[in-house]
Amino acid sequence: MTLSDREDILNILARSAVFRDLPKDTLDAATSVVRTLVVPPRTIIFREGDPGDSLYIINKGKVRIFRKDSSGMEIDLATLGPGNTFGEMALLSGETRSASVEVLEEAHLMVLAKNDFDRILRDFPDTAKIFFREMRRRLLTDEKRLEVEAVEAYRASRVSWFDFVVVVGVSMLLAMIFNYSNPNGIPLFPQLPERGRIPVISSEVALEEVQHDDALVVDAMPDNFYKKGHIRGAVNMPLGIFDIVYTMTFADENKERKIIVYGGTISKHYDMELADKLLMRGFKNVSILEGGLEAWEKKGYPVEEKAKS
Amino acid sequence: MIRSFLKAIITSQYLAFVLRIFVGSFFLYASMSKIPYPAQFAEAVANYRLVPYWLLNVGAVLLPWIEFVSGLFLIMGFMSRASVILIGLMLIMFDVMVLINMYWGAPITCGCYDTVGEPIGWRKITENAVMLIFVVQIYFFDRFLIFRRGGLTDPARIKVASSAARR
Repeated sequence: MTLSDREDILNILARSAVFRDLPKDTLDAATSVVRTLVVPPRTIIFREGDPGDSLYIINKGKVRIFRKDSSGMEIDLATLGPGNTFGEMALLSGETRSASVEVLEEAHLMVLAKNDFDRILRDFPDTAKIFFREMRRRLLTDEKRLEVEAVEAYRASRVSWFDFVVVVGVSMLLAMIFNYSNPNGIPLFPQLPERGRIPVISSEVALEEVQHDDALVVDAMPDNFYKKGHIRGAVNMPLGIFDIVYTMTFADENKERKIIVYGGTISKHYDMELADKLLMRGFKNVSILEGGLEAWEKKGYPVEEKAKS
Repeated sequence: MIRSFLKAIITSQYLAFVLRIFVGSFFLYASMSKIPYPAQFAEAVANYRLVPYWLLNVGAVLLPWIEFVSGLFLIMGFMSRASVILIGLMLIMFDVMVLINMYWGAPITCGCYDTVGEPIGWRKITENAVMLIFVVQIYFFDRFLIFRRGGLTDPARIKVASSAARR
């Protein structure tokens, strides 16, 4: 080691966070025992669990301190650069490495072996105090970071309303645009046929009309519902296939004949829509059964269940 | 030994990633058969007799797109938490609707993928329930390849508290 090398090392040590407060003689002692080391990027200097055999001072370059959690994911603890030291924790505690270190940018390091470190501590007992002070400073920094992280982790564990607004908002926008340009698009708020235009009759009146006036009962529900159960004698006329059914069975029907339509749900007023269509085709005596099949059944009037299609 | 192995699998971020792709593409697929034909889908929803008249068409137009966007976002890992919650809510909603109709004995088909569809039944309930379990796993353990998970801060920046023993 030339004299200028010694000077360099001394200068670097004197600038490093841990060594700068040490007295001159300690620095001298350290200077004479450190080794210099150049490490290429992506090298692992030591791994968590390795025995702690030396302390490192960074002269140039960058290293990453990280740990693996139980699921194997790497968690970055810190990125260190020139002037920082690492590895002293294991030397002081005598335990294994508590984290791994990887070189990010080619690192010029100075290595102080455990024996030498121990000797310095023994020969210059005051050094220990400075290390303790440094440890305490780190502890305080970590505590502060812990606090910040706890707040951040708490926030991240909640989902913000903003995200929901974005997801639903984007969906709404796309839905509206697409529905508008889609040839199969549907009106968002369909118009109901006017109430009051079509007379509504009760089950009793309907039964009367069926028995005496030869009224025709039409079930407007989809055919799967019709098959499950319907008013006895009713004809099924689902809206979806209105035109087909109309041409096949209704076209020759007397337009004056009384027609009673039923079948509506909370989602669709099939009865009103069907009655409306029949009125438009020229039928004059169309009425709607109040309460539909349910009210009819409740009265105990005749129904057919599971009829053959 | 086996317990810790199981635990590692269940809490695995890679499993969450696989499930994320699966659930996401499932919802994409389901949405794509419904998006082009809103009238048919509205009819299928109407068969459930649970959605009020005035909401039917809006719902039939909007719901497939929510499925599409949240499925896509989930796969991308963009706002994935909100997406996975929305998907979970939809699954619960579907199951409740199917259960009610099974109780009524309604002779209807699912309307889940296409208008012909399979009849509703326990099979459908189970499928959705399994999917819901996937959703819970994703919600808690998804960390892999996430673009923006959601929440007020970006969790990628969150470093697990290391306390003093960091070196």
